[in-house]
Amino acid sequence: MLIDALRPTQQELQDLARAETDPEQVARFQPICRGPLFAVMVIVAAGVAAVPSLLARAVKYLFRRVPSGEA
Amino acid sequence: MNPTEVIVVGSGISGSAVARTLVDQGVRTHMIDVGFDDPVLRAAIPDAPFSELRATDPQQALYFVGDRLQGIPPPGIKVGAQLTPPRQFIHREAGRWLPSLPSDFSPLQSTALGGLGAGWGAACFTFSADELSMAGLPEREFPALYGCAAAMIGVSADPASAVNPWLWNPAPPAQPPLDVDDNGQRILERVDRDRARISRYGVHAGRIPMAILTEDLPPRRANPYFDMDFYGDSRMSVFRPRYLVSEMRRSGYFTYTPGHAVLRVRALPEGAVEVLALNTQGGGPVSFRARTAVLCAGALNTGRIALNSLGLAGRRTTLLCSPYTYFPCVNLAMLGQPAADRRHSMAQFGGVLLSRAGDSVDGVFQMYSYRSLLLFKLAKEMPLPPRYGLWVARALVNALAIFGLFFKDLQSDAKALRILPGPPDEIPTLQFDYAPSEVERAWRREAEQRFRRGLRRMRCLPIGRINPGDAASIHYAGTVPFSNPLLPEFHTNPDGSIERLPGVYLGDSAPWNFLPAKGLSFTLAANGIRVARRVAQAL
Repeated sequence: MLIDALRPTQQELQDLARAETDPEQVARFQPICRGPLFAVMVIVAAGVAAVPSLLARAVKYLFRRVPSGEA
Repeated sequence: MNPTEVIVVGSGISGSAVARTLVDQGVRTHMIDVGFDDPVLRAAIPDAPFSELRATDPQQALYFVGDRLQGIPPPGIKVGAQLTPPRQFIHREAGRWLPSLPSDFSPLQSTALGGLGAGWGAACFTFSADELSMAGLPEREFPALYGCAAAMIGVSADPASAVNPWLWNPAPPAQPPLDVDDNGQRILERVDRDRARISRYGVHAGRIPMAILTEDLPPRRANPYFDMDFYGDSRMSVFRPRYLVSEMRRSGYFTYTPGHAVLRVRALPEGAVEVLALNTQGGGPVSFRARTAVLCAGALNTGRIALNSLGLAGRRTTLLCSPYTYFPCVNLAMLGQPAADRRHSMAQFGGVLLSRAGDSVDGVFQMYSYRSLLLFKLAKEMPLPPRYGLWVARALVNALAIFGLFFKDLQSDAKALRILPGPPDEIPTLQFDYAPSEVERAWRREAEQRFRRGLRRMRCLPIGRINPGDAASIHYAGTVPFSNPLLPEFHTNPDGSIERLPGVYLGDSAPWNFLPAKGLSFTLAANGIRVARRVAQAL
């Protein structure tokens, strides 16, 4: 599924998990608590900012090499 | 030493309740169990709040993600994805000692000291008289049994909760209720303001009873609201069956033998039983003898042992499993808002989804906040690069409300298990054949639709519907039922013994003919007490 190809890879998740459990980086993982409007803006901004890399991933997924016998 | 009178197989909620009742009555009891545990990792978790540990503990990765990063679920994992590293002993080597063929039905089976109870979410519910009757249980005995179970495991409950008529009735004695976190509190306030409209969809919400202490019950202590309950057993506040096993080990009437996976049981001519088990450290079968045995190995494994004992390899027996779906939601009242640190990690509240006619409980739900499961797991679910997924997770985390919805399950020809023929000295492999009918699936879809409408009315916006698979509820029953339409000669007698296996009783949910939508653990404890009393009387 294309949508699955857009999710973080296992390596990216491992890096994120290591960072999240590093006390030095705790501020990077704090909840954003500046009101509902700001939260919505963050979500929209994250979606917009991700578009170029999503497109890159989607292209990479669509033109990936498929081993013979795999759908 | 005096000979054992009763062998109890398994140390889960049923097994520990059966054994504790027998020991209290002065019956010499021997518990046989695989019994894996992880006291070292448990002890490595400091007794401190989640936020303090996150900010200060340099060793936190050990228990939050594991030394081998085992807390990061690999892609495609079907069983145990929800277990944090300190809880993963629950199914250690399960593939070896509780083998099953891979299928769409991928149950979580436990090899742990405490069985699946070692990871129980602690929600306690009483079955109604109708539900008990449909399951084949004596409904008149249960009000008193529920009281005994509450005293045994320690329950906190709100005597005035709006959902008590369906979920906690009659209400056994309990400690004062737990505090609800900010996320849950905002939703419950909304429910109080708009109860009439929300109930039009059959949705009723309120605080639910939990096997979590709010007052000390030595040696156990009240919950410290550290939000670490998915990882450690802080102050032993959340009930775990191993506490009962530890207590019993101090009694002269109790022996505990871990490291053994039971293969089969046999009735001996002199009115005794023999239990054959494999030592998990290696070697051939080991024989244990007693006057009586009580199987409490979990419905699936109890079914396996009973089928194997009667030489019924290849024959299909019934299987019940509550269907389960969960809905991650955004609680709009908490979006972008700060939340207090002080909270427990288990279900903040719960409720029922009534039938359209309002006369029966179609579904039971529980609401969890998310924080202590860490943001990287949220980012994993988002179709975004990790940096941006993390932003979204940080914006959403305080407002995330995860609603798990359970349904009831009925016997059918298309829900079955069997054991595969194999060598006599090997644990037989289970094969599942679980396919709810199209009528059942359509009924669930309609119920879920009503539930989603109720959620929206609670100002909780569903952002997904996750069906984790048919076995994911971890609520299993009915493999040796009182009434077996698939294999009539393979059933449990009204006195709890297995037909054609005199002296062998069932103490778990294997005999039930029906599985309500409610979590079954509390009823397992009450039923364990009932079975143990009968066994003690029959000695």
